[in-house]
Amino acid sequence: MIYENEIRPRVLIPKVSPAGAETDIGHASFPEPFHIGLQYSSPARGHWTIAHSPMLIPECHEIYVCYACCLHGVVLSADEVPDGAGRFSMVTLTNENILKGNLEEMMIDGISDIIDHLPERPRCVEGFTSCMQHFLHIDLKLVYGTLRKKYPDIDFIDGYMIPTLQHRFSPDVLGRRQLTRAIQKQPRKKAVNFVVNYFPVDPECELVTMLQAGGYTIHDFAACPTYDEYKAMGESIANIYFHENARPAALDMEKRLEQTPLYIPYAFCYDEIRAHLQEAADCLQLSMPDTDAYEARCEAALERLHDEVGNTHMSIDYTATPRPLNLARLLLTHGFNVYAVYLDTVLADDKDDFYFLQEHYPELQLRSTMHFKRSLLPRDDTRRYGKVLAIGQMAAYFTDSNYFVNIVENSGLYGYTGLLKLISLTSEAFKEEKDMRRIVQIKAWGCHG
Amino acid sequence: MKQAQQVLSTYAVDVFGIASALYELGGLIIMHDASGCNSTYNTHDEPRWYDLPAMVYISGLNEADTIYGNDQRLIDNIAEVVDAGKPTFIAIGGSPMPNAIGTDYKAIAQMASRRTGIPAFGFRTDGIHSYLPGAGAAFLTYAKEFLQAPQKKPQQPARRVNLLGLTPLDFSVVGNATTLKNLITENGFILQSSWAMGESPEGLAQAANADVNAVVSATGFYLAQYMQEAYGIPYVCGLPMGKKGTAGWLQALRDGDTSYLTGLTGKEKPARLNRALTKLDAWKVEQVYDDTPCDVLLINGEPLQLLSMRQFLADEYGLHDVRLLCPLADAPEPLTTQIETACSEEAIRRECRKARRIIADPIYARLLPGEEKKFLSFPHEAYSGRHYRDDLPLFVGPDARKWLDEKGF
Repeated sequence: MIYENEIRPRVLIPKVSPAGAETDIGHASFPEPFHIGLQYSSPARGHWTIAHSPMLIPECHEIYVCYACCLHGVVLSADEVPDGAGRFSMVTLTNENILKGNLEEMMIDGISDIIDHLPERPRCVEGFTSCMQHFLHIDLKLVYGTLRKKYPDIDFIDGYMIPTLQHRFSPDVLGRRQLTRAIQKQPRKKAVNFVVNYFPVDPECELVTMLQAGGYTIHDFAACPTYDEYKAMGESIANIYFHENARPAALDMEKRLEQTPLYIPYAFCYDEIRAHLQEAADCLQLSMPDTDAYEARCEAALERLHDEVGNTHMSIDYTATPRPLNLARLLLTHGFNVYAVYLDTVLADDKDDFYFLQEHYPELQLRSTMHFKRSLLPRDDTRRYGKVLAIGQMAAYFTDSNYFVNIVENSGLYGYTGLLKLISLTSEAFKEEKDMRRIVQIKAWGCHG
Repeated sequence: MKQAQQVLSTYAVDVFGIASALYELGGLIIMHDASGCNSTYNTHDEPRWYDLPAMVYISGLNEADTIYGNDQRLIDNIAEVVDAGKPTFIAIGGSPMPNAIGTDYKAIAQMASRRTGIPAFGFRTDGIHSYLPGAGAAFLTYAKEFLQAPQKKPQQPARRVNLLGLTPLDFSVVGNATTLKNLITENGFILQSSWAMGESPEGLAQAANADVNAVVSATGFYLAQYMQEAYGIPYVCGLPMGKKGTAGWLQALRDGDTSYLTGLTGKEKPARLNRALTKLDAWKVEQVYDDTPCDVLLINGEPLQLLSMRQFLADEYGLHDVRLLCPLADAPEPLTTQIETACSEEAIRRECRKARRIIADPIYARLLPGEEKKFLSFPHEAYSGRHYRDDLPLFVGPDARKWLDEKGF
């Protein structure tokens, strides 16, 4: 039983002004609205980490070769995933290895030892190295070359946990790219892949319907039931991706596997949804759905939602969707009272929306999630404004609202159908309270949810 | 292979121990790292994070600053937070990367202190060693800065008691800290201060007025030795577990009996934190007990929980064939003379095979698939984080056997 006096002792909390951690969009700069110095980390943890994403490759075993400091987070994250502990091992790096310079030897020996003692032979092993090994120029070609020779039946992926050395890719971007590295070229079939999304794309969305009607087999990275299904992604002619962070993966697959990359990002405004579907139709010779009919349905659904929520304060965060400003634009232009968007940077896809909102809705607040003041600013919007309807876990936590749409990275919602479902989820969220405290603290929602 | 861990976890590291120890004291605590450390700490090891705001931040170390040794950005960012948040002190430690390039935390602390005008502590940390020396150093350093001179000398029988070494890493938030405090106040003592859960900085500053220090985890041991040397305050190491154990602990506090449980004389040389920080380079892989079977094996990273539970099993259950295994090689040496240390998965597995019953964090049960029934779950927040918090017992006080009985021990 949790003792309230132990988790909430009487401590004086410094009072700070929101200046620097919040700004109205009218005065914000693109793409970095905030100066981020020392960084805060929110307890809303539903987004995925590099410990979780390799779990999407069936029969893949993760082996982290890092210091205890870095291992503590990933091993416990993996442990929280159902069956995660059995798919995760580690080799602990110490100062002894740094001094002796035997980084390669200890990694080869450590990974071999784990493989040899696993109850079942994995089809794939993703090894992870940390900043320190790369700072000391570990020879990974030697490491993985040796391991591939020693275990020819196992696909090895070189994974990276190198946040200090992210001059080219962020850990998430690099992580997504590496997740596709065990896919090899296969004889071509009329098939396409969805890469590298963490949630399966909604099979009811019009994109899936279009592809199926066009005779395509779909390999959805996030929904591969077996390792063979994962490997079958090598037979596809194109990689469809929805998130900017998956771009290096798609470009890498173009280079390695000669598969066409097709970027049709998540969007909420009709013109963009239509344009992306048209792009897919043109690229893959598909028939377009009746977009006018879809848009009419969306309009009607938005109107019904507006009748329900009225002038309720609404907030959105960047973990719910990579397009928080596009979503804010749709809702604001339909009369909803979106007053705050939680984000730290504005992604390129949201650039037009940023400037549109800056011009037409300059009072919309942008609020940083990691600025140091965020931990000290009161989470009292529900007391100030009454009910706050939040889209995303961070928006719910920071506004202290139990009325929230629990989605992470669009949760597979795509296109008009995705928008219709989001409207429906928003309506549900408005009517039914959720156990926000419990839900938002679960890491990698989707592994559990 | 000594460093390969197929199923086990790792203990919270030094820099997390610092944050946990100082969490409630109004300071600015910085983990010098790129990212990840803060979310690891606050997600898994810090149960107060959701409810109790604190100025615990990551520095956002980047590659260029690492290579060029640029600390100025860090100092500027610290000054920005001090200006807005008005912390009463600054504490900084870090992860493996800054350690490897020889980051001088004490120098950074000096620069930060000069710039901001508030005390600043730099901790030699590397993200490799455990929370024991980390939290230990934090308590000690904080005390050296903020303890006020005592107004009276320690008396016997003792009445005023400090609790040293209270953090959620060892006690979680399930009532163990509250029970310890209640035991003090309900048995004729005055709780002078508790380091550092549910205590104000003002209360901690008066700690030197205590008659005795109750060291309830190894993280409080360094401070206890310091306060004995500086103020002549005796210390008692151990936890009250069970009726007899609680009575014995209370009596030891009254008497200021340093030999209680540990056999220490109080005249030992102060345990050196820096020595603790050099120890994990040597992995303990050797067999530690002979091959004969034993009745109970206790595995725990915190030595005083091991010693106290052994006494408790003897008192309450008449069990004497109990072996103690500490997987942390950097625990304070004076507390581990009756404890064996084994760090590698294989060495720990070997010891588990020999035991009929094992009381340990549930993660250790994975060492022997098919034999999980011989493991009794005793989650340790510093090891498995929040994962098994619901199963974490109230393990101190006269009724401590309740949780073991409920588990059918």
